[in-house]
Amino acid sequence: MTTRPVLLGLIGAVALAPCAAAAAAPIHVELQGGRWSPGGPELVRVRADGRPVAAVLAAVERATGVTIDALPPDVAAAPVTIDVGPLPLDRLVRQLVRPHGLAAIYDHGGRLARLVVVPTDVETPGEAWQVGARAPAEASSREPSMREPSMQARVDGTWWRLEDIGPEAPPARREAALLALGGALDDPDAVALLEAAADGRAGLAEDDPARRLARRILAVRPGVGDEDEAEPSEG
Amino acid sequence: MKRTHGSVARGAFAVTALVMLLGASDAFASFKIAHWNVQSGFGKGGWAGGNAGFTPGSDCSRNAWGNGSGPLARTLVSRVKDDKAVVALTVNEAWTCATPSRIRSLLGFAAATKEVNGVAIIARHGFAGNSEVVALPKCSGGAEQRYVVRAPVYTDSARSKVVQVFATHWTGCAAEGKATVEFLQRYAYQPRSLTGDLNVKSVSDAPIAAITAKNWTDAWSKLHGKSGGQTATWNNSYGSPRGNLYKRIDYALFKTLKVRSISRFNHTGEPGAAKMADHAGIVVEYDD
Repeated sequence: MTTRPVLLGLIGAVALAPCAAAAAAPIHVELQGGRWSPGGPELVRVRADGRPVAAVLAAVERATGVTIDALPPDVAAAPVTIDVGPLPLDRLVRQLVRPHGLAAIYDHGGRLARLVVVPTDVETPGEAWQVGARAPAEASSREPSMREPSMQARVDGTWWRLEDIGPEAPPARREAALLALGGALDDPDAVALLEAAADGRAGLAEDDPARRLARRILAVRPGVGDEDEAEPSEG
Repeated sequence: MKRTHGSVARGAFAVTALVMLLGASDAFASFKIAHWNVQSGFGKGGWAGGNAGFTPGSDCSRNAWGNGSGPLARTLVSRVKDDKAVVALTVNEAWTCATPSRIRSLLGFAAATKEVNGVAIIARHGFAGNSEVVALPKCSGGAEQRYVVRAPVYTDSARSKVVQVFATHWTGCAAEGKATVEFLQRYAYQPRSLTGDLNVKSVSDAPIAAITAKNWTDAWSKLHGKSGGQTATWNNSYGSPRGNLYKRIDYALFKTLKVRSISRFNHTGEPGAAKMADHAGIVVEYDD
């Protein structure tokens, strides 16, 4: 007499359990050494159960402050079970995405501020999925590299590199580089260099005129929010 | 005797008419102060397509500055140079292409202050004395160093009247408002104008309230109330429809002056189309 309700209940519980677990299970991101500081030895440990890759990486982004570029939609939606670490952030992200045939690489010079996810079977970062609406990026002749800075852009036949916009470059060269890059805002490589100058990754001080110039140039792009949006009135 | 009486009567009438005429003339005397965040002359890109007549970016020959002949430069001529009542233009983000010295040359104005972090004052009839710069407290450790620039600006070609013109570009915190009003009040009892991109969305917010608490008046609020008058920002992710101006953050505040009108320019057009600057400019008119 009681077999059917119990059986139905068991079937229901089994059927609902994964959904409930997926919806309710929090994603734990633990930082060893506190918030990620670029270039530092901090390690990251992630525990997630059955959550989509995109949700896991978003949690990692929030905890570390490091931008992780957009994933292909089919990968972003794939559920993952992960309990690893502590690992350096780049290795953690690679571990997350490698089962999907993807690898994560740096696209900056010297300090970790962004990770780009690329298919492992391609030779160039030109096939990487880039930030937001810029995907897919134009092909580049550069080889991907895990640690070596690779930021460079060719504008009107001239190669501009990170050192051209860094503090070691003469001010006139920095300005020339930034203005040239500002003429190629449809080139993701040029934008990446400008962003490195603007956000400090190129090593420029906050009040460096070149850093302000880079910010002004980037503000020309449509859809870019105001500086004051990030720093609202105290009123 | 009759003839004498007639002459006296005619003379009295002429004097009365002259007095009335002078009075009427004086009643219509005014001067204007313009302000614009010129965004370096770079222009603001859009997504709507079409031919904007310039290429947004840092190339001074192709962007909105266009080596002094682009749409931003032409607007400066039509709205500032050609309006003879405009005696001062305050600028923000006047770097790289649309610099104060280039704008002064374009307008044929007599003087310009030095530029500090993109802020400057350019005067049609020149300055009655030295200009002055005050550094404001930073809003946070990573915030930009901001300044207020002051210059005594002649309001007439005879160089007989002066208004103290202050220009600034805030990050938008209360500390800036407090430091700014201290500077403004050093020139108490003189006609004073403060214009700038204050990055504050409401006149009742603390940074501006620090100034209005000293009986300074916001020109837009006085003439048009507390709504409307948006000056920023073209073609970012906000606004309705997307890309439209959506906030009033460029202000004209004054004291010991009587405001007559305030208007905007570069405030119309299709959101999403490239714009000569991401801010609207303002022109405020005061009794002389």
